[in-house]
Amino acid sequence: MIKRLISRLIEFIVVLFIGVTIIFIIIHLAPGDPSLQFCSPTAPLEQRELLMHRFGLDQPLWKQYTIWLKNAVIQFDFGISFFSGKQVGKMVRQALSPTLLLTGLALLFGILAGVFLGIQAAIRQNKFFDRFVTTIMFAFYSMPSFWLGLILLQIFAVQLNWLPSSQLVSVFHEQFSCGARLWDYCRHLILPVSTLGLIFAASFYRYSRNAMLTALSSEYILAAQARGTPRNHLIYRYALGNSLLPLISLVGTSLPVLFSGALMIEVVFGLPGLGRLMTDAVLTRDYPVIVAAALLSFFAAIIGNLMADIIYLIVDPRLRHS
Amino acid sequence: MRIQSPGLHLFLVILGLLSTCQQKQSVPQTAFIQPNQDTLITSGGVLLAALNAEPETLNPLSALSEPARQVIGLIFLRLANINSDLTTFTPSLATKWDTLPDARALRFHLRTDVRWQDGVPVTARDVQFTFRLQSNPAYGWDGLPFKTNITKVAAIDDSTVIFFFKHPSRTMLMDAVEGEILPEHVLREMTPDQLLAADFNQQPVGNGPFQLVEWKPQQTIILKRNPDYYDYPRPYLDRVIFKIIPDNANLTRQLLSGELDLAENLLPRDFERLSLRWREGKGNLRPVSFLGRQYDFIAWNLVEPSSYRSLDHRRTDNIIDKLRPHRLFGSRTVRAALTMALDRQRIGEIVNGELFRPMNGPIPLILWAYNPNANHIWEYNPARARQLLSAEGWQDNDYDGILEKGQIKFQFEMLTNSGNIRRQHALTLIQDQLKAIGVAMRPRLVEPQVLIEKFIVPREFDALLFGWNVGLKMELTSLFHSSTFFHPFHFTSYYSTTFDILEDRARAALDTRLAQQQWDKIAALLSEELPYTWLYYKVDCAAIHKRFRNVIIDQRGVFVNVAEWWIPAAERLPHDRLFLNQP
Repeated sequence: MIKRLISRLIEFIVVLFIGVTIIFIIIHLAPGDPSLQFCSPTAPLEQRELLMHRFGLDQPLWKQYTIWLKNAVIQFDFGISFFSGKQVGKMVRQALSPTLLLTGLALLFGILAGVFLGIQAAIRQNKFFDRFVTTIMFAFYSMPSFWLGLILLQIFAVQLNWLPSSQLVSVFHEQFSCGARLWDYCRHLILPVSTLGLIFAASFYRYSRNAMLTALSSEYILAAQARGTPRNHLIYRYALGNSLLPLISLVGTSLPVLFSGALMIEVVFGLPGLGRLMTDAVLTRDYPVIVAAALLSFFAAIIGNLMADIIYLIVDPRLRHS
Repeated sequence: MRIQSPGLHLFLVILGLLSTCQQKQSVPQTAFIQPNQDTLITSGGVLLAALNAEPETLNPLSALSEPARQVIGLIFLRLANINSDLTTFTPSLATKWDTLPDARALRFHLRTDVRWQDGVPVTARDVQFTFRLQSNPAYGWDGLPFKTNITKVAAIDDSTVIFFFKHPSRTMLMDAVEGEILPEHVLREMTPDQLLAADFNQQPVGNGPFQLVEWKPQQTIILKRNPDYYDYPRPYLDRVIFKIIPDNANLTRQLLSGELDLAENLLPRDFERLSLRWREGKGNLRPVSFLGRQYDFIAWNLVEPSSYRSLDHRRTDNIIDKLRPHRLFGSRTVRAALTMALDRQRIGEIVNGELFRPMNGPIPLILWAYNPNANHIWEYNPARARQLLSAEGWQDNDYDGILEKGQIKFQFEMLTNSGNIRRQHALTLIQDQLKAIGVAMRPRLVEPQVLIEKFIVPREFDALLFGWNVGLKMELTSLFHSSTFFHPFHFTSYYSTTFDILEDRARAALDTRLAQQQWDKIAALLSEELPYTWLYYKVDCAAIHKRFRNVIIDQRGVFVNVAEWWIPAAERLPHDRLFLNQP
């Protein structure tokens, strides 16, 4: 198993290096001249050239890349934003916390709700509960997240005026008492977390229901049933564990979503976060921010896969002994 | 208030111009909301205003975007502020000014009671220092062209400063007062590279009515009243809180749910909705419409892209000999025919509703030099357009519905930026109307950055549907003067020595009447030669909560006089009382 882990780690480093290189090159080759974005249109050519020099964009691409790689790997310095002049690392860190809070809570909600309902629906296959929940979940699954968000906003923020329509906290947050601040956070997070969480739940529901149905129709369950094992024991002791295995991959591949998958939600609910940071950076051709944010998502994707592999190795005895 | 960007215009109107406001009432150029005369002015209250994007910086020297300028305008002072007539000025940091006898120098007398927000007094040396930074291209200040006529700025004593000019001009005062004054004691030691990443960009030390409390990225920028502001008891409001809301739907929701007091650039349907509520006496939001700062036009490429490609972009001599006229739009008659083929009034109505004004020439409607009678007006007349094209040799000999001349078919591509529904609609209408006279136009939407880099800067296009944001200084140099031929937005490649002479004279004229004559001639020349076909001038839509008094909103912006806004005590909302008696 150790050998397999080491081999996966080496693969991880190689993939990361290739990915970083591709991201850097593609972004720098994409059309859009930052000097036009960050310079007055009436500025003389010399001023634009000065700006290109300041951004290091007058260097050949390979040189820009080696400088960036050296700074990023050795000093963990991702440069300075063309747009704001701030340290990119700091900008990404600032944007990361609200995104992680939102997506983390939504993912947790999605897993718990999706898996629970999926199992219950599988146990009650073809009954009213199964048909009803499956229909609802398919509706959420096929619905764009921003659309669901808009519906919830219209009902709870505009019509009923129960919950705030945007931002992570109220503008008067600092004036509140400690308990009121916590409640302020909760009120602002209910709608975006529910929106994203329901979409996640729908996805986990489908997988867990199918996996549970497969497990319940396996021969070892039939054998246990024939031996007279009680139904609850059968379901929760034997079928549940095996039906959860495919979910490990699903959770692993969902990890990048934690970092970048909430863009539409961030826009609809006016929340700060990595998605908005990246979108703004793309629109303004702020290369250092785009590269850093893309790198983070890419890193999360391969880490997610790696972690899924490792967990598989731990929980699946067949892989452990192969 | 902001005298926008150097040249006449020159900011891309890409963001959010989806406007087709359809309010049927008349459109005032300036909206005044007068104070109640029978109520005492009281301090206290909070303004919740929307910004449509995150400011890139709060440093006046490096700010380019409108949101950044709006916030900066509340934190920093200028020497003087422009009035609504866009020609005269009101004292601000300077109490008065006079012209020295040789007419090439302006002397400003500064207030002695203004302090930077760290307690240091503002002096003439700050003004001198600011000029040094503004006029150094290495700092990349976008208002640099305002300062090109200024040779030196000298601080005579702490409260007197003199601006020396190369030659006398009508715009000396505007040139001198353009830009906010910066603190020398904070920025003195900084090189241009250091300033790019300085803390000052996020934590500015200003001298204006408000000062920064907190900037939460992508969320809010909170300003509080400057307790040491010279003009006590102004500002009356305790806080100005900017909420960063890039999404229009979100903006409207927040307006309707009372989470915002002020928003501009509203979508037409939202403005209509708010207007209806206001007329029915339901809402608290007063809709305000006023002649804005944006217009749209079709730019014709006057030269063949290949001939432009071959030019040395650092030399402006003998340009005209090296350029080949565009196969279609090199002819003025063709441009005139295409302009006559377009029902511009109809296009304006369909894409803007009632909220637009027709535009027939190069001078923006809000500027002093605008004279509607000076423009040559090309009436909608498709029959005449066909005749003109026929006289130029364009005929449909193969009866395929498209005109041709020899082997050349009259077909071309018209580009516009994606993300602007108003222009996309206009493009379709233009296509239909040109088709009626046998001209095949293919519309093409291009991502804004790609449009600029791949098409506009290298001038690789036939025709372009585009828009400008209007600056408050009257000049057309950046668009049409041969001295800016290679500038990115001189993209029609228009070259006319007549225009150059007229514009040089207009800018040099010291007498308003003489200047007006030259601008009239320029308007006539350009509206006859048609490097652009001007389409429509936009009316802006905003909304503000009715509890605010003494509000002025006009073409200078929605934050012109925020320091003078106040809220009657009886109309305060609960959050207006949160900061009462707080520093």
